[in-house]
Amino acid sequence: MPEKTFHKAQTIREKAPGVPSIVEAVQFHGVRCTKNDALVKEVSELYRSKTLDELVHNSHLAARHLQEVGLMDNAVALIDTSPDSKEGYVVNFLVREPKSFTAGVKAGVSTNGDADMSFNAGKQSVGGRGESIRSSYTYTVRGDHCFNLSAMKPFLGWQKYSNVSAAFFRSLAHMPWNQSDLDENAAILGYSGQLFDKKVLHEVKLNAIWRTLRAGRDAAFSVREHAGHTLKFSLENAIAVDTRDRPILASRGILARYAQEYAGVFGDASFVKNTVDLQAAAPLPFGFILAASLQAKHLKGLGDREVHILDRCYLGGQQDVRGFGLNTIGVKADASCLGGGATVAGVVHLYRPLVPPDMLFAHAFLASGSYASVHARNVVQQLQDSQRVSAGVGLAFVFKSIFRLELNYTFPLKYVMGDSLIPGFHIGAGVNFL
Amino acid sequence: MNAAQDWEDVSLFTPYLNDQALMYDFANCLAVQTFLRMTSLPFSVRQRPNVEFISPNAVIPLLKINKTLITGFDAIVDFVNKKGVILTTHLSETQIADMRANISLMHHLLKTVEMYILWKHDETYAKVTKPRVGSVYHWPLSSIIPFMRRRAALTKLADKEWDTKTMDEVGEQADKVFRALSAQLGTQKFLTGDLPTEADALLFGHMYTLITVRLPLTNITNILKKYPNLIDFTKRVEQLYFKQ
Repeated sequence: MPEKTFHKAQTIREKAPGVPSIVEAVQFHGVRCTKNDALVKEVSELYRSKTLDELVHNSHLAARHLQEVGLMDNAVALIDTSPDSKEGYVVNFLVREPKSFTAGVKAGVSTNGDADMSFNAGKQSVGGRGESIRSSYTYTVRGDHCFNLSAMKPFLGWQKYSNVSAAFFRSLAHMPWNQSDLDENAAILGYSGQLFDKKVLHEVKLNAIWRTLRAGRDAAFSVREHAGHTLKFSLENAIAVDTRDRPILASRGILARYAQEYAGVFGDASFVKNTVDLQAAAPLPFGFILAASLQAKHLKGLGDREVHILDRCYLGGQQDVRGFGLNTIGVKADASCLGGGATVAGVVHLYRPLVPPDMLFAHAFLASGSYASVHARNVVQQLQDSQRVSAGVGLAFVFKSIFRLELNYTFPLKYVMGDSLIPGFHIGAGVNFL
Repeated sequence: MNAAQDWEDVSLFTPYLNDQALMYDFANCLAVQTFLRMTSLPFSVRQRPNVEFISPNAVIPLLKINKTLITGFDAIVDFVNKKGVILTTHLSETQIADMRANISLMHHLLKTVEMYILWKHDETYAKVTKPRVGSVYHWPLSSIIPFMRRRAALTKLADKEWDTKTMDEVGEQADKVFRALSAQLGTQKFLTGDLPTEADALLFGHMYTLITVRLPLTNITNILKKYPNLIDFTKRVEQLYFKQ
């Protein structure tokens, strides 16, 4: 490129609504393996920009989209005047393609005290059209091994956010709430996209999971009865409207999500599970943010077999009803939690940004959760009778849109004998918080 | 193990005996049932597809008394004895030692013979073992689980150095067991005389299994036919405890 001086978009933004523009060319600098047709799909809309203002705006959107769909690691749009005509412009994209290959090695200690070693490798934009492949392999000192292999292909196009993905994995988990261990071997196909003029998010997942539940020494007999190999084939469908400004800790906006999971055509599991999530956040005076979230789940067994303990609804833990042990709110047998057939949980939060303002927040909350057993005759009555409430204050730390960390001092307010209460200071980390 | 509690609400958990249980599991489940019937203690049998996972140590059958779980023939016999129900009070110490030797012979040698046939003999694996193990699973687990179980069983056989044995050598081992048990039985009603013991329960379990099982190969049943007193014993015990 010839030496030129470019200015930030702000200098002319919203000052040129009436300046007509004709895009004469779109050029990419830094492309090695990205396919031409992929780039054409991404930027062809630019040619329809009628005014300079629109062109500036659209170029910015195109550059951001190139990065978000995984075609580019970095993309900057530079708009230049055409040497040939007065109204003509040339859009130059300075891009950096993703690294050809990434790999890593990591050693760690898992939550149940097992040391592990993991290797991972991945490649972005494998075929030059944004497709990505990731793989990881974990080996633990006890001799277990897990792996994860996933591939994703985005559908390219102007401001299009949809993709198909496939994942195969083997994972091991310890479930302290019913004193057992779970091995999963799974194949999952997914689609994510938008409906109704991109207003509604739509997700479809097809799961095939071979699960092996191994009951520990102290597990209740009701847990043992479910132990062994089961196969679950299920179809999940979710639609959502999301107007939140940040997904992990929103300061304004709402989320409404409805998900349905159906299992029953093949495999051992047969049930329908409905989940409704509602979240709303609004700013208050003095920088305070008021937020509320509600999650309701309902499970209905199909066929005569009892719904498997792994498919039931659970509550409790740092991510929903804080102050109670993870997944310990539900029907109990000895020290094991057998889950429920319906759960409702709601949390009201009050946040106050600290320093840095987008990362650290003072946080106070009031959480409530209730469950009904799988065999409940009167679900509403059981939900009323089984209510648990906790409240707390603490700090919430948000790292971009990647994860959230909470440090809370929690007071369980309403509970019954036998609940696994964990009052006092606790840390919760994760992505999905109520 | 808490032997002091009452004998109430007692269930014996077994695999599906007709369609799922393998020879040695079938034999052990039947042996425990026979033993409990000999003691006249009440119990109910519950067949489950996942008993090896319900069992805390993967041993079957599983006896459940309230919240106490006891697994396997020997432990169940022990537990019942601790409650004061003993079938061997009429025996001398030498006789008890003989009886224990017989039990151990069946547990080790006879079980290994059965394992060899089920897992090592290709045709038996394909026609009997695989369909039975896979019967409680959906595809593809109905193929994967038998394959994994076979790999584990072959490793066990290799540990006992049975993997290199021929079918004839295995037949000789079976013959050795039958000969010893047949000699011990002689013309008596039970192994140690007129009264049954746990060894009779176990013997019945294995004999009944070997007589009634349908296998693609007949060498073991043919060997067994050389010992008519064992076959008569099996019919007698069946008549006594299972035909009312």
